[in-house]
Amino acid sequence: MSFHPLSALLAAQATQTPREGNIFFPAEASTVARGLDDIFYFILWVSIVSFVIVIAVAAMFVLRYRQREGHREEKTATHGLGLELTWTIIPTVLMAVMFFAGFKGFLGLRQAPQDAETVFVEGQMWNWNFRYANGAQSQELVVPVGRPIKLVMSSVDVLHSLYIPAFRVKQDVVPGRYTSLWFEAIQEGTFHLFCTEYCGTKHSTMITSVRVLPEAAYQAEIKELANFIDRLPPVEAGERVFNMKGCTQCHNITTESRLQSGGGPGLANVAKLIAEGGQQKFADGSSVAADEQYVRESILVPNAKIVSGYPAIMTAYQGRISEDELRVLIEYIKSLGN
Amino acid sequence: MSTTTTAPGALTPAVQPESDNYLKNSSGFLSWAMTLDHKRIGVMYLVAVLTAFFLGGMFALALRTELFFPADSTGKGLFLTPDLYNQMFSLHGAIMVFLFIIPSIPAALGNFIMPVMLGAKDVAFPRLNLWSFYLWCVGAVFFLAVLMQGGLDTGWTFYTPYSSTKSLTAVVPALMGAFILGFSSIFTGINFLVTLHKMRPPGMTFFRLPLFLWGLYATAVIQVLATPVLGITLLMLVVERSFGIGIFDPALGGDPVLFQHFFWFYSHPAVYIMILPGMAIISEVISTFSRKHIFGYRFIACSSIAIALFGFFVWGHHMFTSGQSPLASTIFSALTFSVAVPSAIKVFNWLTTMYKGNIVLGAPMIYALGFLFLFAIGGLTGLFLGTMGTDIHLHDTYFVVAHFHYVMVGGTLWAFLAGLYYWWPKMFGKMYAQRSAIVGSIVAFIGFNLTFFPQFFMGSQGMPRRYFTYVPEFQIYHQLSTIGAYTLLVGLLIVAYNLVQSLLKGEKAPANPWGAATLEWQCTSPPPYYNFKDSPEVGDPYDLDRVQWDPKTKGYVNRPDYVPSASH
Repeated sequence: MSFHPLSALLAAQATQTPREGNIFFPAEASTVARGLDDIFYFILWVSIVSFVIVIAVAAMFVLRYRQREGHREEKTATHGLGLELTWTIIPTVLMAVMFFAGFKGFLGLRQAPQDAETVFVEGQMWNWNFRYANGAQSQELVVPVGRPIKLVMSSVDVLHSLYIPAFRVKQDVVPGRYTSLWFEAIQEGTFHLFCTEYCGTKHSTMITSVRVLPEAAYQAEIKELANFIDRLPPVEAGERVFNMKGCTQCHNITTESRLQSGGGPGLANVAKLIAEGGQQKFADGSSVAADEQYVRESILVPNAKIVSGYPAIMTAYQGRISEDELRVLIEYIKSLGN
Repeated sequence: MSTTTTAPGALTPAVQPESDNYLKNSSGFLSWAMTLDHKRIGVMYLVAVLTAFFLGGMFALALRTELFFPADSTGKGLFLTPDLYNQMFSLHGAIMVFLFIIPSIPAALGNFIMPVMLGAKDVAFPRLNLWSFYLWCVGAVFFLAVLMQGGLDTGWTFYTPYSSTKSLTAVVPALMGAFILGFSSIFTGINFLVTLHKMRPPGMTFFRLPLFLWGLYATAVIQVLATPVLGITLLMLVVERSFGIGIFDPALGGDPVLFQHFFWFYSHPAVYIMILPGMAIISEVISTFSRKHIFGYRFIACSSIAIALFGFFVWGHHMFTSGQSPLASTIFSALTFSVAVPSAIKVFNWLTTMYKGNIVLGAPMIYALGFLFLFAIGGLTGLFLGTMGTDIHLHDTYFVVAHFHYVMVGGTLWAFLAGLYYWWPKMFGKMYAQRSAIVGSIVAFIGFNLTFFPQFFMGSQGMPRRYFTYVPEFQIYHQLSTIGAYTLLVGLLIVAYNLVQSLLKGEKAPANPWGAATLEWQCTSPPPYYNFKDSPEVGDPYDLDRVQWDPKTKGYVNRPDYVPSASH
């Protein structure tokens, strides 16, 4: 390996153009991706060369010294300090380079630039909620191209982990504390955002997208996302709240239940019950009039009353939904009976 | 050294009365259930861990079958629900780790071979040995109870707060099962440590111990020092889940990441409980089947101890993305590489052992060569994960899944099978058909690589682990992997057929079919109840000049004119 690529590797800077996606990686869509991939390819080449040497030597020995007519083993030395030191020191040096390169790359990932814009992230079983500086909220992450973004993250229930493969960033999202990561997208487009810390039934659908937009489009998008409750009719605004707060992960808006795939009742049933002025029956045998107050309680403190047949697993929304959001959400749920 | 009249060369199968054979010296259910003979306990362990392996393997096949297609647009899978899938991967992991891999080599093969190889009559504490087997059974019963009571869906790692507050499955019985299995493992470790310290026959110095025993020694150190931490951690989690005392639950002021520190403080060293005995088998097999003295005996022996010790200080490399401090991550990354070096040293010593040998391609050697190939891939891909910058991207993806399967299956399972084929004639007194043994090995090798090699690419492209379904671009890799899993099954079925055939109609095994110089080959196959009438003569365990081929018994016998060399 010549001097130049090694020093470039240790600098771990995106000094070169990003690569397209290939068999190893998705396209390098953030500033840090190129440098981190360089470290990967360096280790890859060291590994391939070491592997080929080991396997070629083993294969050669097997071919040359296999048991056959007229072949006998020969006595050779049973130890040799020189050899032992050689194959101790060379791997140690190579690994020291790997460690150091990985360390530099890691520091690049940890230290967010001063001017990074903060987006707050809330993970819950099983959706993401992103909150922007202007008060906007979304379920998909929307970011501008060419500007550093810092995600400050927390979880309302169990561990999650936010992972954007195209940006090469990942950080666990822990209840009761903030963790953070940062990135600067260098390519417009839509990329996967996965949860990579196992979090229960729907872990594998806790997936959303990152949309990287030009600055102007980004500003327009988050402006549109903010204050929609004041601008839109309640049912329409309520639908947005419904999609944003993760309700869709567990509830159908039809009458169909999702009990079989770990979800909850179909909400059109609730709407119909309210329209008829009926009673909702519960697992403990009690019942209550199906009205706005019942829906309100079921969202804020869902496990207070459990419809029979369903497990008590819904996350409580007390303190995590505003009065305005709650109002339009209830209006939307009531509209589902039509 | 003793006079030639007591030389064990006089021992041939013919002079041993059949009733001396440990399999036949007594009979009936109780003669097994209450036995204190390390050999019978070893055989019972072997049957037990293979049963667990079969069960864990069936769960794995169910997972791979489900993943052949992603879930449809309504979220329905091929034949599992997300909850069932989550339970299957949790039980696959827990059963394979706690019931199979950890006890596989030390408790099954080690129990049988270790005292004989040492030249002793039994382990230091035969009753404790039987007790540790029964603890394994009790632990297994707890896992069966978990199956009956609605499964386990926390993964084998039991991460909090999901395991402590959210999971609706039988977490507490699973924790108790793992807790009890931990004691089974601790007792085996204590037994081996004391045996190796106190029961070595005259002349068996530490540097004359066969490398398999060095490996078991290093393993036992970890079992005794690390497993109690797992026990404490699991108990804390039981209490947390039952009474909500708030050690790990942030809602009560606890710290969920603390659990990960406790858990990996055991579970990373446990990785070395799994691989060190495997490496140790490979040292025996490569030397014997190359007809060469092992190269670099002291380096291999000391590297086992180095791995055991360094292994205690690297747990944080499982937690680079957990939120632990960057400084801690940096120190853990640096220490992690220090464990990689001794593993590399072993590989180079094995290669050099083969140099100018007379390499016999018998089934144990085929497995040992397979081990070299697979363990090299498993070890080298670990470098990407020990390096912080690249681990951030690869952590919790299929890259990690592929990496540890290359180490745990390609490494430990291959070594276990190498050891099983190596000592099978000694254990059961029967030879096996080389051809179908080798065919099984090769089919399994192809199947294994087809299963796990595509997972490296899937992982580096971003496929997270523990996913019931996936985005469409990963489908081709999943399908290759599933086809591989069924190929692996076929290979292992051939292996099972081969071994059963051997038991039913295998040729009678000579005392020393492979011509090794370690002591277990100095007694009959299968060994007599008391292993050795007189303590065998201890020499250099890798001085293969001690034995010569005897066409009459179709095995090796001691050279009558052999003069042991002073050292190796």
